[in-house]
Amino acid sequence: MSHIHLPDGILPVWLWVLGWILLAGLFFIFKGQFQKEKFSSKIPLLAMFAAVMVISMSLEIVPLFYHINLSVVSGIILGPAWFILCSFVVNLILASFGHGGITVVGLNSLVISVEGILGYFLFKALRRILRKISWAGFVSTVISLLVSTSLALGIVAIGRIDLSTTFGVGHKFHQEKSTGLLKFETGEKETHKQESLPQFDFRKFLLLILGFGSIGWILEGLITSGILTYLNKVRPGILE
Amino acid sequence: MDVAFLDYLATSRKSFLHSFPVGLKIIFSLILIGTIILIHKILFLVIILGFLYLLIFVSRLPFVKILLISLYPLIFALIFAYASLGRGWEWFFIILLRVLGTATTMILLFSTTPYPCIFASLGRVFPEFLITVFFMTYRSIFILFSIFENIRTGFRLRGGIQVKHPKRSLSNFAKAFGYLILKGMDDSQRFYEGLRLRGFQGKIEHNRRYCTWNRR
Repeated sequence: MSHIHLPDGILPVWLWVLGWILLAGLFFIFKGQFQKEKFSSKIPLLAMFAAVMVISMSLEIVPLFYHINLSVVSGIILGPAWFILCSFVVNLILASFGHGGITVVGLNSLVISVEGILGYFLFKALRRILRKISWAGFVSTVISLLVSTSLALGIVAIGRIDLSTTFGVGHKFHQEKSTGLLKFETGEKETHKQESLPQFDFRKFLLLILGFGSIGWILEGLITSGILTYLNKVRPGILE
Repeated sequence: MDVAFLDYLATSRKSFLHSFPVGLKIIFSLILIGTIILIHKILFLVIILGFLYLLIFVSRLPFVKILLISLYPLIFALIFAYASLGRGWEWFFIILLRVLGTATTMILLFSTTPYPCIFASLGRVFPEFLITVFFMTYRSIFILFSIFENIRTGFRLRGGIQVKHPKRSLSNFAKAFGYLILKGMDDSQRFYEGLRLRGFQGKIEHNRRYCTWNRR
């Protein structure tokens, strides 16, 4: 649920283009690692985890408006660099059947990447502190989901900003007529018809997402914790 | 599973749209999505949606099934549309129509074009390495899907999801996915060994000729 389930055409063009650019930048940073390991078994492993994530994201828990991601489990096993690629593949395939818009694939990949990478580092750290895989898995998943959902909400909030007014080139900049030094006033006050654009109710959106999401995070935290415990029991060393 | 169903439609059906060149179909879909994004009039959005539904009929695709898949993204869009009610009901319907429009466009593209053909066409834009990842993921989805079907049976036999026993239900669910991951990892390793044996050099060759007019 942490990624943006927004359709195309809701977020401004500059924002989703920025998402694609940032994602391309990340690929460029890790290009060396991808090239080095492209003959390794990492690619089939990545493909398998991408498939697991696609399957899990297709299972909708309708009353909660939630689906599990399994991004933290995938992030822990794949590692940060390969997980970024995995999240891109997953989002592009999901967009093929309308699960998230095609234009927001870049932003969605970034949000899920943050979730998986944060989960990876938190799990590594918490495992040493808590000494219990189940608790480390649960806490790292819930925190990662909280952060990634906040990021997704932040993107929606940024999406409401009109760049033309932000950089002072839009209508608002000219609302007050300057009188100048010589004060040549016409006496007529130029009235600017201010466009009344009712705002998108971000608080309502926030409450709905956090309300449904918080139940989902706990649920996903428990499932992830169960999966990690199972993996560690059946195949010790897999999480090293 | 929507991916499997769309793939089945793309490979098993025959129509004008099925044999249309893939590159043109992708460009046409992107133009259509761009138009849907830019349009702010309900009437035009309804016309585009009507045109898409007409294409579904012409392509002899199961209309109700396609419609149901395209309705799926509405679950999430409703939250956004509800929060946007301050802009009026027109905006509410514009959001829903945009979701339906873009989702139907994508579904129409993928239900008339096999995934490998789309990936092969994307090879002109994306690096070959990425296309290889797409091919393998596509293949893995079907492998895992068959494993998942067996796991579902086992999951039900173990009690499935019971509201009265949430702890047991969650434990069963986690074990089912844990098993799916382990099986997936084993299969990916076996798959990789097979590929290396056949001379895999980090790139899967694909034949673009398969995806042209004369395919059928």
